[in-house]
Amino acid sequence: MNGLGYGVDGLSHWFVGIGMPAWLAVTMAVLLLWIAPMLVVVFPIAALGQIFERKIAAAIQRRVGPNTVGLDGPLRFAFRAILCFLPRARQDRVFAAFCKLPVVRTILKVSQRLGLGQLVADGVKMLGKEDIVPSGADGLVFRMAPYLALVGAFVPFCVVPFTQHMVMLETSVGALFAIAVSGIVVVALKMAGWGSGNKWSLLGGMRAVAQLVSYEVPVGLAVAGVVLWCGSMDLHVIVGQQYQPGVFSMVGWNLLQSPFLLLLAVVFFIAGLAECQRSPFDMAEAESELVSGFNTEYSGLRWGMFAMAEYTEMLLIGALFATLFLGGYQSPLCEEWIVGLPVLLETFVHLALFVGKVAVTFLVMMWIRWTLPRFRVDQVMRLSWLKLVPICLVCLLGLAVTMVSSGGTVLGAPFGRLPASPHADLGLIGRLVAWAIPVAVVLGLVRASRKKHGQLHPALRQLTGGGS
Amino acid sequence: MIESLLFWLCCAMVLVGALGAALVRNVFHAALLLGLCLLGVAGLYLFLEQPWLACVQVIVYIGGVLVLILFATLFSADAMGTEQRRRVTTLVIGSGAGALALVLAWRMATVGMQNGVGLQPTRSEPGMVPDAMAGSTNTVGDLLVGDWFVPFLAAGLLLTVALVGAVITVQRFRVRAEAERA
Amino acid sequence: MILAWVNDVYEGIGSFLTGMRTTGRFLVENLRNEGGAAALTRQYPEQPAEVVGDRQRGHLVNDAKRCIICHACDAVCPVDCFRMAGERDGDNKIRASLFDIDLSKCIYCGLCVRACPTDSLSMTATFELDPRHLGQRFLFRRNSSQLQQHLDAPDMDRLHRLAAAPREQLSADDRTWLEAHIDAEGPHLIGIYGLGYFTPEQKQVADAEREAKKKAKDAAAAAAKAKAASAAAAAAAAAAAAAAAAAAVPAASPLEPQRTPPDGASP
Repeated sequence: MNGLGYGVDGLSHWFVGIGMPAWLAVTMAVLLLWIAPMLVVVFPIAALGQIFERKIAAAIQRRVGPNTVGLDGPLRFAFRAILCFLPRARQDRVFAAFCKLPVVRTILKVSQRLGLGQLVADGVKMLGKEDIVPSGADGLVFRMAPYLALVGAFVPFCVVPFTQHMVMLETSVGALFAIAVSGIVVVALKMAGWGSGNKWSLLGGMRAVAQLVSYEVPVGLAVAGVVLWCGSMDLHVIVGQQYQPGVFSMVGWNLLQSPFLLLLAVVFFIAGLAECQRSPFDMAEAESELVSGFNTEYSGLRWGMFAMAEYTEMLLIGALFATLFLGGYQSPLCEEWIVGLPVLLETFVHLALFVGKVAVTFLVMMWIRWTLPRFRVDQVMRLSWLKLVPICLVCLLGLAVTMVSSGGTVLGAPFGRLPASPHADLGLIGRLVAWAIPVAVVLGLVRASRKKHGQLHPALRQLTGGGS
Repeated sequence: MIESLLFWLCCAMVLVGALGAALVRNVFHAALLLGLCLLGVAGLYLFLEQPWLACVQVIVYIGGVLVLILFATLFSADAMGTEQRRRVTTLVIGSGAGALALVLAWRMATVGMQNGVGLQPTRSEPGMVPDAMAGSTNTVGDLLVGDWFVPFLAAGLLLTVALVGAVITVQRFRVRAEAERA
Repeated sequence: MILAWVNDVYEGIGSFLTGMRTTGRFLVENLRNEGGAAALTRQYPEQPAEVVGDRQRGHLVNDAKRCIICHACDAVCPVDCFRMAGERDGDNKIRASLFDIDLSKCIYCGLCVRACPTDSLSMTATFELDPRHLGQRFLFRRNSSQLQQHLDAPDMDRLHRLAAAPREQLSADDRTWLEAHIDAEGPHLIGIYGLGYFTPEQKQVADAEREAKKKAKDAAAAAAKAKAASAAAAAAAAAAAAAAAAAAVPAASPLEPQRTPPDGASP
């Protein structure tokens, strides 16, 4: 397929410029820009996510978390493998000498305090476990499900712009593509639940399906709001639209463009949590009711695939959130200067910024997980259909009104790639007005509702400073 | 080379999926094979340089319709896949519908050929970027809110009516249930 | 209706924020370790484990010098984890030449301790099995063939001496000797080494208690014998004595030879 991003062209030209043969330049560019995001960004973060989750859970629950298994074990193993021609005693002596290096010692110490070795240990454990297929299971469906889940979780990263040049697939339907492909995970969960031949798994699969069908609606509507505002579904263009010259480049982010977009961002985040079956929406797993839901019968590597898919999907939601609402890879301050940097340096800075934003959303997801108890089935449905969807619809309407009243048009808005956002002419006063009116309306509604229905929970009263 | 391989793969997915969905007796398997068929159709849309259609196909048919079918299989009498009985009426209705679809498809293909569109690969159009994932979104958007605006709205209205009808139906059940409880 | 809806959303957001604030405070505090997560958590292998109570069933140990290979433990064991053999010594008394407890089978039910007529089997209050500590490294070893290795008499004596000594007092020389003579795959030294005594005083106290109990039991058995002799034949009397002895054991509660180690885990 053509049109897979101008990043490769740019980078390979740069490589040729520094004296590389053309074939090597193109190969390097493809490796760096298409393969590297997967290997460098997605896999390690999805894996590290599990360790950090354990640390954060421990901190929230006043525990210590993994703090024993460092990286010295794997390192020693690697040394022994590399120095296999030496006797054991000498291997150990070399290893001891290596460990005495200050840098290595610090790394080992830090890795031990963070329990990073747990990652390796868990991985080895998972690889070593027996792959059990229950006798009542539907063999093929049961075996296929984890792969499908992994595909549904990983493929949407194709369209996510990691940096200005690191986009695997630049397409005019980026946002739609991401939502569409990640929707396949539902089928995978359903297959896992049904194929296990276990009623708890089946119930888990059913819950997953019911929940995901409901939450695709708010996710889609929230993305539709951003698409409406930016006039494009291309994620790269959406990021480009959030560019703002000057020191406070944060102002250009969609999150701060309009109160409706802010609300949509919140809705997107909540619905995204539900999409990746995270607590408090982990009804499908619900270990206290359904043993472990759809993955009850899975063991070893297949279970690991589901776990990996879950964390990858969290990453995906984080990446989409950052791309749609937080300006993608762009810096909150002084973006103008970063764009001016040399290509490689700029790419690095942008990648770091993007990973940072994703990490923050990741952290918030974990924070929420260890704060809220699991919702009931009816509560989950109620939240989606009675709260999120109406909010989305109101926000879409509000966005359209804002755009029309600020001189843009909605239905006749020019589609396709625009050099700048169609709402760029809002200006300072226009933007203040665009914020003030909805905020005033919401505040008024809240005050009126508090007056009529306000029986505030004591804890809430304390939080809100004794209101009502 | 790879493109033609992928194309034949998509075709095989469609055919195998469709045949399987019609012939396999396990409901759940039939539904999954239907999903395979729908995915193949999405792939074919990509080959027609209609990425938007492909994505919508995946969202609506796999993420929506197929999932609902999968959901519904659980409420069928043999959720865990004991075999369906083969009924004569089903056979008659099914083959009738199949024949109708065949005639329709043949008609559409011939009409399209006569008018010089339809089976023409769009990539040969002059001035179009040969990019399977790039074009078409704008075109589809323009068509939907331009020439086909009224049918588009009509479809929306129809769906809204269906939605409201569903709510009303459920409401009646609920009212009855509450009355019984009281 | 709309107002009720708004109120609902408002309260939802409010209670959510309250919860997030609480957990967020915990998160920050404990990451900076001001909330005392590290203080509240016992770093188990490094810090010694707390001994919970004196009826704890920690390790199963056998004092081989006292064991008469009567197979009473073998008979009651629900999982058949014992393997034993005896030989007659100079006084024509039976003593253990082999006594294995397969720790991978043992379920620590304590039935054997109740059955043991000489109190040579007992369960310690400590439950440490940390192989990083010297004494416990020996506790780990199972499937003994150590006594089958036919150690010389002086070696045997030394082994017994070392086994009886508190483990803190082992010299480096003794440790190397133990390491050299005790095959990692072979000897299971629970019966000999690591009896659960951590200081000589503790051992003395336990021995004294045991002697007293034994005397009491002997007296009871003698009394029972005297009673039975008047009523029944000699064989029946023997059986009754055995039963009485078995009944007397739980009464004497052999589970509580008080061996609570003060801070025994770290040598």
